[in-house]
Amino acid sequence: MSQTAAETNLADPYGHDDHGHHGHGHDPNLAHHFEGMDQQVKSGKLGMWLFLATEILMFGGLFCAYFVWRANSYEQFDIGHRYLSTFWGAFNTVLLLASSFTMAWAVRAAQLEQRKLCVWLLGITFVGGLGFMGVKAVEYGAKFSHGMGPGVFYKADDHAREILDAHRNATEDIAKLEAGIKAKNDQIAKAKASGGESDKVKSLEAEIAADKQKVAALKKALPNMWQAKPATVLDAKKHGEVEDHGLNVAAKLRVGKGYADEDKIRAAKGLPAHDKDDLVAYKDEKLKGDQQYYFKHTPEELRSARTFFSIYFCLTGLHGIHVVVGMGLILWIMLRAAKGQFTATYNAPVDLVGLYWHLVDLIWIFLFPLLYLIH
Amino acid sequence: MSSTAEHSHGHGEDDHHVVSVSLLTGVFVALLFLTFVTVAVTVFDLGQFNLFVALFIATIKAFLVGTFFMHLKWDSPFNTICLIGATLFLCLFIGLSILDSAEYKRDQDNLMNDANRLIVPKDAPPAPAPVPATTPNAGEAKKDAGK
Repeated sequence: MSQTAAETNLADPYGHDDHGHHGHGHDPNLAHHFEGMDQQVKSGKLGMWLFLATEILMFGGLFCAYFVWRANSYEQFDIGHRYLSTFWGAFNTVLLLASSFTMAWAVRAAQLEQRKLCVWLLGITFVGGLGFMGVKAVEYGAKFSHGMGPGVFYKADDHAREILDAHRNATEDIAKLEAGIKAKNDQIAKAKASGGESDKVKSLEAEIAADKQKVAALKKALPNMWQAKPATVLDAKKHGEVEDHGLNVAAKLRVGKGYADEDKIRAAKGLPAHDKDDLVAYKDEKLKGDQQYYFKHTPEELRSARTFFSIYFCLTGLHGIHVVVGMGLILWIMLRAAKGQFTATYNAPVDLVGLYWHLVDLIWIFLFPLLYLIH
Repeated sequence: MSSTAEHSHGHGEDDHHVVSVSLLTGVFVALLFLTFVTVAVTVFDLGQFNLFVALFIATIKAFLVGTFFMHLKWDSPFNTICLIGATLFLCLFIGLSILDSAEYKRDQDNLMNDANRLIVPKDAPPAPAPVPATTPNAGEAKKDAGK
């Protein structure tokens, strides 16, 4: 503030000389139970740090669940993380890091009384949080539409089974119809050879035409069956290739590094080898070019991955709540900064909100590799 | 203006330390680089060490954020003690739980089997029976825990 030392002494007859070396004197923002601004700022920071310690411990319970489940059933973590997009996880990491950077800069701007800059930087920080939540909303939406929600919302295995059943039924129907067409052609040939019965030939020809139409419709629908409920088929643009999966998956599987011995591992565990008719397609986005093959998960494997998604939603959900709270605090601080309420001596609110925001960033720094980058 | 203002607040009290923009930018670039490294390293199959590498890089990033963005370098050491104390107790909590994780394996398997039984279609074969409480397969659990 602009008070001089003399004014300070008048306003403060008990003399806080020994604390007054900053020259800020009796700041109106100084609460009466503190001796001076220094003590107030230090106490506030310590209180914030104690709160952050409790936050770390609160997340700790969920991290503990993560590690214990991972230690005991690693397979489902390996399956589950393949349905999370590394790109968007990394994108969100960069967003949060950038907003942490602008937040730290905003604290500096507040300390230096750079009001406009401070408001702008807080605004950018807020937008960073908004972007993060936007990406998270899209990710969550995709998970739910794929039946990969937490707890009772986990239906990916049912979806996979439905797709497989529909696909198998359609394939069987096509085979039956084609056999029928062949039989009817034989009948027509017989009728023509024996002469006469032109009515019967006509009706058979009409039936054949109808059957052919049905077959064509079914064949057209086959690839779309994967598309109809993409519970486990990630790349919607390439469903034409997914159709191919049923035939070539065994060969393709062996192309992929790291999965070549998958059936051997399954055999060692007493599990049956993959039945190529009982597989769900999945394109491994981590690989490039010819290495991009379709990974496969049976409905049983997908069912086993349900706890991974519960842990994923609990951890990222609690973190998301923190991001939303932090965004609200940043908005509040931004409005106060715009009103010019912060000075070189009184900027603790910016500082403390900054600490909170950095903690949110810090937790995501651990969440990203643990959930998205499981190897 | 910034340089004079910085000096006027720079004498003595650590809580008023103003961090320079160049230092903040440097830390930010380092964090971006480490994010790239943590993604890039997943290309290599290091077995169980992938987890440790990922956690190690994340810890370095957390150190950078705490030290510079959160001002711990210039703060009262007691704030650092709060953070490190919470982290140590967290490690203790998780570490002891992992050491004991074989004890939970049976419960987890039973939980998974129960959950499976609820959603298995009617025509499907029955889910495997839960492992009896008297035969915890500690050796196998330990092997799995290493992943």
